[in-house]
Amino acid sequence: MDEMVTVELLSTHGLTRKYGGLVAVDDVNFKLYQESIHAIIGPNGAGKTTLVSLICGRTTPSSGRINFKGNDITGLSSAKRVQAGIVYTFQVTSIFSNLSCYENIALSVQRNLRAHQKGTSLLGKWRMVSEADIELEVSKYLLEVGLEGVQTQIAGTLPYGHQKLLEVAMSLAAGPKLLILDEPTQGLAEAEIENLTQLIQEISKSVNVLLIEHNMEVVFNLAEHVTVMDNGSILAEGTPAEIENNDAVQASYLGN
Amino acid sequence: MRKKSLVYSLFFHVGILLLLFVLQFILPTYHHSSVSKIMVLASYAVAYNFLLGYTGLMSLGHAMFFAAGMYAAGLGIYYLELSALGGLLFGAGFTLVMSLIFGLFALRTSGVSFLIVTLMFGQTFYLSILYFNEFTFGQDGFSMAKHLGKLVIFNKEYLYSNPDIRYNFALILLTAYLLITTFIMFSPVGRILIAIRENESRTELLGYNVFYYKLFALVLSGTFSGIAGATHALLFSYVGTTFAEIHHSISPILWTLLGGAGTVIGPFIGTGIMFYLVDFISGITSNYQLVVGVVLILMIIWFPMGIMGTLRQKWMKWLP
Repeated sequence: MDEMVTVELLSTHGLTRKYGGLVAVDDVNFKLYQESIHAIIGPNGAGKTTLVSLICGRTTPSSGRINFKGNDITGLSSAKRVQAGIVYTFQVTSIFSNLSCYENIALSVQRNLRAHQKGTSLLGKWRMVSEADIELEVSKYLLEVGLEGVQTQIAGTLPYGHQKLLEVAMSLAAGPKLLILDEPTQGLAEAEIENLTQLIQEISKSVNVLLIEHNMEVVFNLAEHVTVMDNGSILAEGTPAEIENNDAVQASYLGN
Repeated sequence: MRKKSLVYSLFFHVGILLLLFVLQFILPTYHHSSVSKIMVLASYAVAYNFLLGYTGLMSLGHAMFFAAGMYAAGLGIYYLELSALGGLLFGAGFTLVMSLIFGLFALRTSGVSFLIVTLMFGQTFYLSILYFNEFTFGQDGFSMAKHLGKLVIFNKEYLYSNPDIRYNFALILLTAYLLITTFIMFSPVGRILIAIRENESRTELLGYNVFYYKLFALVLSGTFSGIAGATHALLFSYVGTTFAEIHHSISPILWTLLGGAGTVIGPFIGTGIMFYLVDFISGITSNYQLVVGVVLILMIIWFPMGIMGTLRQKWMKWLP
């Protein structure tokens, strides 16, 4: 009865998104359990990004429902969903390129600190978060992703791999319960992928991670659960080993 | 880092304001009056820049707010026999409500659509003033001189149009606007507004309700424009439709871009330069707009970030 509280973090029910005649996500019943790295794989155009866009509220569904921590979040705005703990990290890096790295993270830290500020009075609620607290948190998150000392650097001048890390730090600073990483290793060099894999492993100790990834090595290294999508539907689900031995998956996706 | 910038910029802005205070004792009458006018118009530009420079929303209808404040104050004093300060407050309250209602509609759009919507609202407001000319005195406008009371300071009575009152009233307005803008830009809200300007969708996906912050910026910008308009009515004893025309919506864009959008002091610098440029050129030719146009084109080619924006990029990195 209480299974939602104990294991299920997120579920979708008959979730569908149509673009004209094209059904990008077709009646998907997807479940995500707590304390795991869950990966979604599938060929290009399978509907992976549309599915997570629906989950984080960037796209509105044509029909179906989404539950998060036992609450129906289908009607919530994307900002409200972030406040609830669903944080999305863009496939193509989306940072504030003209602002310093400090400002990038501080923006995210600021909201999270304020959300956790327990104001008893109205005055307490309106009190601003002190910049000193923000500074401490920013350093913490930069250290966590391995980007110490870049505070004053303009974010757009960082190498691409570091911009990705900065974006992960921004997302972490938002205080996620579920972190959605959309193709985090895309465009990275071997060594950077290695580094990022370790980081995701580290993050997953405290945050649930939903990973969309093309790099199978990364998926099979990290994920405990894998969902395979094709043509907008779920083709198979299971542990990495089960997926590797699934005939349908072999045929449609992993076969080549 | 942030604290140091705040201290530097406070010194810088307070320094400029002190300089303006001292200038009133030195300036010859003509320039004394010009600087008064510049300070009121610059306050309008500072309010405009709050929306354009810091939040990234370009409005083509801000004359509506300036004129609304001006007419609300003027007509309030004329018909309701409000005191001058009562008229000022009435103008402020009126534009506050007006910009809130306007924002709820206009902010459903963004980018070019927002530009067009603001333009349409602005024109509608302008034409409404002409249409209801029995009430608003239409194209002629009206003089407030007979309806304004006197300002009493230390038991002495002054006219609002007294040059010293005018200068210092305008200086107080500009000071308030510059300091308020500086403090907001160093507050958490300022950080969010700049983030919206830089990357709106990312800001939303960090958990901020972008609409509310844009509405806040619009209401503040609209209300401050309205107060500037109301102040203009008091200090220059005249209310007229020229302040509701489209060119009065475009002017603050030019002043802001020239001085540097997204800098606190930029709009003041831009207003001052443009005012004196127009003043100087109209003495030579009646086609002063041609010269202004050329100056702006050169400006955009060489200093796309405006004067203060360029200075900030090169030397004054702490400038808000």
